[in-house]
Amino acid sequence: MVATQSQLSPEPSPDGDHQTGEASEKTSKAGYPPVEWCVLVAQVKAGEDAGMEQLYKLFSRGIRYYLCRQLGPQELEDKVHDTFLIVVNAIRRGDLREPERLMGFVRTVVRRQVAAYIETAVHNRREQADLESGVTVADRKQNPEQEAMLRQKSELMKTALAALSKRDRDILVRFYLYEQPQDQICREMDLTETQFRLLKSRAKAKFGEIGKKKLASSGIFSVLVRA
Amino acid sequence: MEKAVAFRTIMNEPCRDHPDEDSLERFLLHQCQEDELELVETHIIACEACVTRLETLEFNIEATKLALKSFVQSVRLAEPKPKGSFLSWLTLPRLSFAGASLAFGTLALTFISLPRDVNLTAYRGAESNYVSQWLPLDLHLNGRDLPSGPLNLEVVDARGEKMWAGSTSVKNDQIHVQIPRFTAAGQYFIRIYSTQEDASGGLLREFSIQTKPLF
Repeated sequence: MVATQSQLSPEPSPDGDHQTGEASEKTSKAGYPPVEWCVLVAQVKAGEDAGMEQLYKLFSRGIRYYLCRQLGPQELEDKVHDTFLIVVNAIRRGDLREPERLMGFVRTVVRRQVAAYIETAVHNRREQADLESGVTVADRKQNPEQEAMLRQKSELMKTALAALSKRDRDILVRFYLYEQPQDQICREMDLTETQFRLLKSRAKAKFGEIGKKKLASSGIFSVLVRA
Repeated sequence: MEKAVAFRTIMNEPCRDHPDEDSLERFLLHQCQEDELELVETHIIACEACVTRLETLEFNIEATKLALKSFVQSVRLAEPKPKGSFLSWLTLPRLSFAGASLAFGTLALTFISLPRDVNLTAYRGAESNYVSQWLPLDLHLNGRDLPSGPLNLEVVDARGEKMWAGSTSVKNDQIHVQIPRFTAAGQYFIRIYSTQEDASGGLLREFSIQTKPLF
């Protein structure tokens, strides 16, 4: 029997809007599923299908997400496959001496892969600047349906923003729009770290609450809930 | 079942715990410190649930950014524009344009204010003399055989209407007089009268000029 993550892990709420500080706390305590790394590594080393399958199930989504975030969706499947090959070969060669460090090991491999792809892309760009300069540009565009949802959601958020206090809004603008780091916001708005965290989470909670009311009043909420 | 239980071990690794939402936000906004980045990255590489959380969070952040951007723009548009001070008006292009305009204006004014020298030697009908319209004229008229002493001078248009009148005298067989600019193009006559009227009305001499735009 293979214990996969989805079977073992109490999943945290994926909806950032609905998640309160308490829920977030619970999420953190719930933690990652305990996996017998030694057995898994031994199985992979021995070339057993079960181990390979579990390794793939465990890491494929995360690796895919990480590579896509760093390099874009071009040739993603190939890159994921290459990364797995490197991990599996390294395990078989015995490069991973402490099996319990498999997660960190995979992360290191993925980071090196990203660095290698970027280096290759830079090299190719230099060599073929006139021919195919656009090939290496990461395309993270959403599909038309997601674009429409994004626009709809942002319109609702815009109306909700007007109901926030200027201070709350200022925090959100600085953090999300201008992407100012926390210490800069604290310094410029004369806040402590705790005050910032509280104000931001309060602003977000209020924001989410107003947004939900607007959604409910516009009738979209019921549709989204059913969906 | 026993085998499944055997798979599990308790790991006291910090990367085992799901990161909280603030950490994930910092990760998405590239604001993680190195140690936090290591924990979050190591965790999400192996946690499908947190990848889903990240995707949702990423969508929400994108929507929030769009909403905030639009809101900030609408607030800026609604705000009354602050009245700029006089000094703020003084930009380099404006100053350059104003300077150039001033220089051009001064040149034009100087140009049209300077009188043009006109020498008239022929009597009426013998020759047509073209002079500049819009410019004051410095006339030098043939005064040979004219009596010395004061004389009257008149400028009339083609219909005989007086345009200008003044007094002058003959010096070195020449009459020197400045007359104002003609504003209309056409034929004009310059008549010189004696100050003592006789049977001919005192007319001593007449010159003809034509005015047109000449620069």
